[in-house]
Amino acid sequence: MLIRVDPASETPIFAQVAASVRADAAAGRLRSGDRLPSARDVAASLGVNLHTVLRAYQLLRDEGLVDMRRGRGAVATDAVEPLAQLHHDIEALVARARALALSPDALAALVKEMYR
Amino acid sequence: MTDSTEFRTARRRYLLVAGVAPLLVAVVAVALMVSWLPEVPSTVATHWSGDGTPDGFAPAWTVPLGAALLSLGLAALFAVIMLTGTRDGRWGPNLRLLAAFSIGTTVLLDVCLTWSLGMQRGLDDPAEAPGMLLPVLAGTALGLLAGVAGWFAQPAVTVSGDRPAPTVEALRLAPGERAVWARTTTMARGAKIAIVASFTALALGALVVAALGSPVWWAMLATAALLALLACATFVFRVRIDEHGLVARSPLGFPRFQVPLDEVQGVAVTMVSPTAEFGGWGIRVGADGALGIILRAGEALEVSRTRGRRFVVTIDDAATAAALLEALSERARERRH
Repeated sequence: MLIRVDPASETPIFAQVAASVRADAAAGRLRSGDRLPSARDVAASLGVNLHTVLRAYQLLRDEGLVDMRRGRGAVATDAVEPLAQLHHDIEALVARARALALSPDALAALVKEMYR
Repeated sequence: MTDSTEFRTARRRYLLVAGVAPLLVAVVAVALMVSWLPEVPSTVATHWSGDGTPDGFAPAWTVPLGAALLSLGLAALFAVIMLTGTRDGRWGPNLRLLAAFSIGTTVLLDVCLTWSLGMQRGLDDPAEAPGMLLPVLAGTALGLLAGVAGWFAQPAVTVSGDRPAPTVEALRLAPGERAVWARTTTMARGAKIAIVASFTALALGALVVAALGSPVWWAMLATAALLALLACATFVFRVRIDEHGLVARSPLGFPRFQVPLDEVQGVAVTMVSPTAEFGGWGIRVGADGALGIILRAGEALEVSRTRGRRFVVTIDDAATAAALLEALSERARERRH
């Protein structure tokens, strides 16, 4: 689990925490059944308010990506699997781009373009 | 010499020192004891109390039988540890020490047993058997000697496998960006089962001792419980990397290890071979002094420090952990200058 927040960004901190967790799932780092680090630990490590992290976890719960259980904390649900499968698609995409000698930056730019 | 010939030589010598030599010692010891059987009482002293008087007795033939079984079992155990632990073709000084320990232990054991039987020749009553102080001292001295000889009979070989010099690319962080990486690492199932089984055996042994009416059973049981608790505390570790550095702690809160960011000198992702590099599983000190939380074979995060020993922890996704720790420590370094 890698969670990163940039206070200089316009995106609210809690949304950045939730986005990190989604990115973890997409990177294959978070699988169904994995336990998220406790909100208290994350808040202490990032130097942010505990409620900010809890708000992020609640957002993820509302999305169905995590389950909040008393005593067990936040646990990733089966709903993270589609994100994990995206990881395989990305691997395949990168392999093809590499074979075609497309640079990482160029590929990233194309992906961003597509998003608009 | 190539790594694979060095490895084969080291392995052959290990089997000679840890297996063949102890068996030869056992053959001599057992032959001597069997030849003495007609001269000793049919029941002999086999256990001595703290003040040196015999307090445990058994039929004479059980002593050579016990020596044979124990020696055979130890030789087999040490051979299996090595053969299963080095299938990946790596070797280290821990294995050399293990073989030396095997021959040393067998010599100590067989000298004590043989001497204890030998000194009861011609006695009518085994209760008159002399104390064991001299045999134990002699056994310890000879065991140490055999261990040292066993150490030097083996070549100094370290085969670390094809480990490419790892260079970790730092995670790209924006100037004010904060990040935390956290993951739980769990002991391999096989190691867990082995550890639990050994404590169960110790606890069962305590029950047998209790059934025999000896008062030491509660001490044995307490030891088993304490060791089991300590072992369970090292089955799972939560590892966290953030602005403060690296922390690995057991869910019980103890043991806890940390490397402050200021002390991080270099970060690497490595592949760990528990037996060859750390001599086993758990909290370990490696051959070259590295402190390891070694819960399984494979991917590990390795941190070299500005002071103190290297720190190694086996964990999945070590690449991300290393990239973040590298980025954070680079930033800390820049901040200091």
